[in-house]
Amino acid sequence: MKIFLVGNPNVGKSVLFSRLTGLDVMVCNYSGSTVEFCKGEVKFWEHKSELIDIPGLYSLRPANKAEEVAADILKDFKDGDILINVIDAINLERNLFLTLELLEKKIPTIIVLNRWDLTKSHGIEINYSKLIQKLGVPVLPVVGVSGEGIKELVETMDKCLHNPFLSNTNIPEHKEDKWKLIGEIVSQCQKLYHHHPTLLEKLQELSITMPYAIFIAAGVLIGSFVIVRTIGESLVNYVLDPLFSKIYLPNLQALINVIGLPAWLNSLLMGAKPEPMAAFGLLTTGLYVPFVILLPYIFAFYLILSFIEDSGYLVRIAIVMDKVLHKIGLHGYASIPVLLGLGCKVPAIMSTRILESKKERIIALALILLLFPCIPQTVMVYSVLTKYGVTVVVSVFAFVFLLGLGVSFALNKFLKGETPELFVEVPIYQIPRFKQLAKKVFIRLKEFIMETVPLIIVGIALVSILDMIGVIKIIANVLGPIVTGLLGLPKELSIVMISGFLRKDVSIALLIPFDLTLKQMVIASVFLIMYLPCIATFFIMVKEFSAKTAVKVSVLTLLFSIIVGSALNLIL
Amino acid sequence: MKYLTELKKDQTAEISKIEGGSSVHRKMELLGVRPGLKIKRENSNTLHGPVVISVGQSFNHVAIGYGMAQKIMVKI
Repeated sequence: MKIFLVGNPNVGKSVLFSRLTGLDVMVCNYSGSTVEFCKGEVKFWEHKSELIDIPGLYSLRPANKAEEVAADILKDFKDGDILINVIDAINLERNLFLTLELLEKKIPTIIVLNRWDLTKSHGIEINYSKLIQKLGVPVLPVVGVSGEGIKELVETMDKCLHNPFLSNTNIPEHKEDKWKLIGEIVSQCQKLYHHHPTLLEKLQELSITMPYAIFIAAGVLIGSFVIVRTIGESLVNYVLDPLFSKIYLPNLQALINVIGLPAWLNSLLMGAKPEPMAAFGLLTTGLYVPFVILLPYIFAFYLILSFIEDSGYLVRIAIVMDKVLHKIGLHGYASIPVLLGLGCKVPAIMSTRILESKKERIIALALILLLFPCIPQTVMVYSVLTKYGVTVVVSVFAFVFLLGLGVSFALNKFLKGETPELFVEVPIYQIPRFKQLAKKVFIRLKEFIMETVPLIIVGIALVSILDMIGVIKIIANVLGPIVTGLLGLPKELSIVMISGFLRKDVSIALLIPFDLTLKQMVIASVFLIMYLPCIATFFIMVKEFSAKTAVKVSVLTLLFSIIVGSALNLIL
Repeated sequence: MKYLTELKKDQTAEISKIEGGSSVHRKMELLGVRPGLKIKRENSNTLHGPVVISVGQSFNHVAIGYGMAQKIMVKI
């Protein structure tokens, strides 16, 4: 027995899903934040059933890849299953089209009017008992974020499972007639009152009105950057680094002195040098990089990103960026995957599904991979280069950014196909709820600690072990001609490049023990930012595009970055 | 009759015709943009960026790329 959650994008299905199942899922305030369906288990009374959260769709005839996924899942519908159609209460008219299409299928359906609390503040009055009459199925007002109405929903689900009721409303076949029926239903069940625009509504207006919109966008981006840096730096300098260097490290050293380790184990665990960044021991650098250097920034970045996502501002950025992105063959909505790429490439690439054409998705992929490194790598590059001064740091990032822009510009000229126009619903602003925000940041940090940290430690261990058994020397001799001849770097750096495929942030950290000159450091950083996607990114490309595309992209970026690196070596 | 792009901020109008192929129609329809509906322009027209309108009897705000907005005819 299955229960499907179906509805338009951004109506709060995922909030309901986590309410009903108690599972943590990502919730955002823009269309298309759920691109894959989630499954969970709900238990109520004697029932145990599977709850499936389907990505938002406007119609059962899909318009993009995310909607295709959704429409496909509904084909699995069997007798005994039920549908919960989630409707945005402040957007009744548009939402009812999908509802009619669902009712037409003669499937047991419960309708949920979510965000019921917002109707009052927006001057909307919905007579839901009349809606029940008109649609012939249960209709329940619910506030997903606070849990209001969930109890009634569960009771109705129970009733529906015992005694599935079907709508006996006559649904017209043609869409014009469907819209006509919707018009009738809405005018009979909904009244609008005049209301004074709230502060948020005024902000809403300003953030899409030129020239204010540009100032607001610039302010938000610069503000976010400053906040992330301040939070990250303070946590590193005042909390985590002192904890590590003054408490953890001396005690660890004392403990090891007491136990007494064989030399090889000592160098594997503690590393060769006393500084935590350069030592390359599992218990020194292996923990220092993920927990002291990366974690604070990742925390700060996702705190801000989650806030912006929940507020509904991302879509306004898309509107402001639309004109600019058209120059490289994309429309404004592509700014969402690209901005997500500032954090991690994996979710960014998954979210390219919200784009319709293949051309757009390829260009967006190029932007995601090339414009800037992911947050862990950004932090590592920053912390490695910062001793050379701000100009160097800014030049490296600006250079990579401009190259990425150039590549997408060329791709746009080279690839065939039209750029579709931006066409998207604009969510209302909401002040993010603390609990939801905390949950989201927690999910993302958990992902980092569970999935990324082990990879970082494995990467560091691998390098130390390979170094001990002499494999690094062999690899260095094989790849040496390219690394030294073309890029002007020490041949031992070839191992750094290989480990970079595992974790790109580790590869940057690995540069520290080499005592590179400024020129070498710049070339190495630029090269390591661009040369290959990390292994997780590679596999997500295989999944979202194809194995062929993933290989093609990897080979092309490798060649491209060798050319760029060699050019830098000649020019600088 | 005017194009949607010619509307000023806060001006209301009724959609009278949408030019372009059936896929354009379908896309617009699903976000609730279709002939006969009352709309209100929500932003001004600088730099030929997207046009934002509110549609129908609800809080349906939609952003429409400039090129697409040029295909929508309205009467005031």
